[in-house]
Amino acid sequence: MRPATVLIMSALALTGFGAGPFAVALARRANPALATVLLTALSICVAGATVAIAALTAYVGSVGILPALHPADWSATEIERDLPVPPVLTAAAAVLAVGVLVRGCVRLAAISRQARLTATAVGAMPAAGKLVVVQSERAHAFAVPGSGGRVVVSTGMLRALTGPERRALLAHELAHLTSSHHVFTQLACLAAAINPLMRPVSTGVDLAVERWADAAALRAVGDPHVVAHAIGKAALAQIGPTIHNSLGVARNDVVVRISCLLDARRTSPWPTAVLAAATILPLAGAAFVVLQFHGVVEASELAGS
Amino acid sequence: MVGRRNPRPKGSLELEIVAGIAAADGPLTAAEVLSALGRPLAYTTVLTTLTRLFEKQVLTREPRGRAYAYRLVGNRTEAEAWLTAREMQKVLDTGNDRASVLTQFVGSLDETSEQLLRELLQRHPGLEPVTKSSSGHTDGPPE
Repeated sequence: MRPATVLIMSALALTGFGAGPFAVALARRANPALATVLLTALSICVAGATVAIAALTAYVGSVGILPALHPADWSATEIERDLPVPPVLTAAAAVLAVGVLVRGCVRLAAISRQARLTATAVGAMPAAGKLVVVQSERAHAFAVPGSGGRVVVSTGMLRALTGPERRALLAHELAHLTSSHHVFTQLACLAAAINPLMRPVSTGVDLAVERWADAAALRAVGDPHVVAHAIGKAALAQIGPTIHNSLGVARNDVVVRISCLLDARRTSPWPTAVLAAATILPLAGAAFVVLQFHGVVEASELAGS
Repeated sequence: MVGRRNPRPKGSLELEIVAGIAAADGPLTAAEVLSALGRPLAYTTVLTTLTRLFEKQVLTREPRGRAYAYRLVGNRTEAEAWLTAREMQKVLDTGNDRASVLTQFVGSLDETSEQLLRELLQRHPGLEPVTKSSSGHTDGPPE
């Protein structure tokens, strides 16, 4: 019975794998701050479950092969009876666990190195408070976290906007810094490196964070049309002379963000509630699987002693 | 978590004024700054903030008529400004981990979204008549 339960709950834990696109679609209509937190939690849970289940499977499966690595009071026969893991599966799980951990570490190192380099480069630019104004015809605006945070804006961007729109832009970028949005995007990015199925969720977090900052801009200027126009004009200004796309992917977030701002009907508590459920389900499944493993091991210890 | 705090801390007017002056072609007087901000603020508030920014050496000023006209200190020379702009471009161009480090105000658009966007903005023109900014850059983005 136990192996069957473990299989079912594993499947439940793995729903997180498929829940990604579904959760991302829901997040577009949920409260942006909650959506950010829930999507990030979902991707971290699924990435964590990927590592945990793979590592546990490999560890428990290898009890007969490498008894020296396991506690002396583990009874190999009991465990092999209650949780039979075929050698092929054990090997595959071991390779997977090591592989994803290495990928995760490499990505973490890359992210923190990049963050450090960027913060140093921007920290050296002349700033007025948190604001760095760069003389450039190109329209750019971005927030750089680290050492108090900086908002970098090009004169090309500032000139494309009216006074109230500039206020919306500044409020948007400052919200990225004050609410530490980079922590969420970086965590989701890391989770996507560990489990590539979480890539759409990582993109979803990027969008949710932008909508979160848009909401802050809306509170600062009061009129959704001003914020929408700021976003729209900034996007069109970027097309200007050359399409400069350093992200390498065309993103249509802008249209979604503007329609979210202008269409108040899109906010309702239901998407947030369903999104929360979609996040908790795989977490519960993963927790159950770990507890099952633990239970079997405990039982074998009792039987062995 | 949702952050319902007062969204307008003291420093945000300073940033707004710096951004307004940076958007202009030449130095601006307090009255011109006020009209560039495009919102109802007391003239003295703007003047006080300008003076504070001048004392912090963020702005320089030169007499114009009976008032002062303010400009951004920023880069002192053209060459320095060019270097800063190149530095920014380098920051934007480095690696694909950029997305996880900093967030651009807007990402790029493909053609369909561009079309959609123009339609959306036309359907919602609901802006108050655009305040006359002395910088003369109140129109849409350059084509």
